[in-house]
Amino acid sequence: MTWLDGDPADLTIAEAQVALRSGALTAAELVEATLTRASRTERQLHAYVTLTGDQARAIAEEQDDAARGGTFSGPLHGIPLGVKDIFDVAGLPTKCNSKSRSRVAAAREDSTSVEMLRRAGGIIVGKTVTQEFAAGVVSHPARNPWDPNRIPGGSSGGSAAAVAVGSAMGAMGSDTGGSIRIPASVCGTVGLKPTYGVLSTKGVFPLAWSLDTVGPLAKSAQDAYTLYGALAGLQETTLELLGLSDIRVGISHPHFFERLQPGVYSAVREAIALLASGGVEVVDAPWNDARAARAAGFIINRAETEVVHRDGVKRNPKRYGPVLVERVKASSVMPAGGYLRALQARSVVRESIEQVFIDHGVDVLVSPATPATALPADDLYAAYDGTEPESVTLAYTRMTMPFNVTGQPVLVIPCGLDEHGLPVGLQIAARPFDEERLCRIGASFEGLFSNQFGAGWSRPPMAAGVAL
Amino acid sequence: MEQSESTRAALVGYAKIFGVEITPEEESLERSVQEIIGFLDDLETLDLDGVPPAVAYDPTWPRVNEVLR
Repeated sequence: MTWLDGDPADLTIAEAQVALRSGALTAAELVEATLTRASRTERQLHAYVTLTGDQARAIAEEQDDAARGGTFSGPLHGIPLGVKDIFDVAGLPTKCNSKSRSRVAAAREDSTSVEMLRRAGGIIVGKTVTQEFAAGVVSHPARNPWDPNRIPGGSSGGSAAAVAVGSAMGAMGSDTGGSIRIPASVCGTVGLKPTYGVLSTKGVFPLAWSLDTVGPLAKSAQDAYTLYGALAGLQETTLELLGLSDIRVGISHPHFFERLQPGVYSAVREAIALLASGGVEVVDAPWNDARAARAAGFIINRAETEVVHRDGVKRNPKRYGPVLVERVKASSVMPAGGYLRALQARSVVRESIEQVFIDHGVDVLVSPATPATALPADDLYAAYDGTEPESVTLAYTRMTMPFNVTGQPVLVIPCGLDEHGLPVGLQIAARPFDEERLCRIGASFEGLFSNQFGAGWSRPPMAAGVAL
Repeated sequence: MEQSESTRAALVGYAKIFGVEITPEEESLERSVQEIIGFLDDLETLDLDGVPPAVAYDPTWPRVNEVLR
């Protein structure tokens, strides 16, 4: 479907770029369609903290005036974007979904990410809901566009929900233990965690500084790379698809394939079978240190979070939510030696994952992004066959956290639906700084999945106005 | 049951060293502390003898968009 026979809010960024440059669509029309989509869905979705409709409309009008004179603002000219509310956006308060910042002054300048998006022509339409200070995976009060009784994951839950439903064409998220990839997985969008350190975190409220990574959520791998390119200041972001037979994929047992919901296991197994039948070479590539990598990620994450929030929580615990207070309190039992052991482990697992890629000659490792699909908001435990239920925080970060410790880039794309019709995400991890090839591989896989499931298969019913 | 009580007492005692009081009602906090101890144990599967801790920021990694500012 193109916007000509549908709603511009359903376009991808790549489709919108073509329509905008051909004059078939104006920035004002695209912004208006996005805001209309938000007004229709927000009552159930709560993806946004603030919508900045008037500012967005004014910028779109200015861009349209310039475009009529033949001047386009950049690769993101006219593209409506959401920004997670831990990023500074000039003129708006960065509240981080915390009572402790309910009266915080408006940011005086943009975070580097927002500055780069604006420089490329992107139009900010609002700030999206985060888990308090990005420390968790629930993102209350945001809900899942596939089923509003379920969570969107987190901590970039509002960004993923907005992109999935079309109330943003792309959005910024941050990923310290999986906070881009988890909501992307359970909302059926694409999420890109770039290589640690490639993109500046200036103007972004920290969670755990040695793991914090910013990146985009989008509707496709191409769109994610376009946004990444704007953030990184790249000149060329059009991806050439790879031949499937040119891709060698590693499967890492056991860590990434144990304790999965049956629907997740089936969807990922079928996706991998589809890749293999399409010509992708699939090989076993065990990474025996994955569990230790996850443990190191957990320890580093908790220790640094405790340092960031210790004084505030001690001074006035009532101004923080119970999840964060407990996290800080529990983390204060961490001995300094434990943190240093985790940093030693980080050295070891960075080398061992590199060796996995070398030994098996793989381009990427693939796995489920999360062991469970979107959980009900009133029952935050994942249940598996024959084992104890696992808390949502431990479950959702089990697959993602190892790659925060190694720092390599990871893409999540939807790869199927479970028995409840909820999206399942495929996690694709590449070598450091290999974002371009990673997204090319992701785009090639998307093509295969679209051929299998039909165009638009990963779009939630709420986007099409279906009452849930 | 007896063993679980003694394990709990050890956990409460351990937390107390760091100034954290875990009351019997705070089962969730107790679980959180247990998780941390469990993950610290998981690190012991690696041979870390003589391994230097990873640096938080690798100075050789470019921060592309800051360079362009």
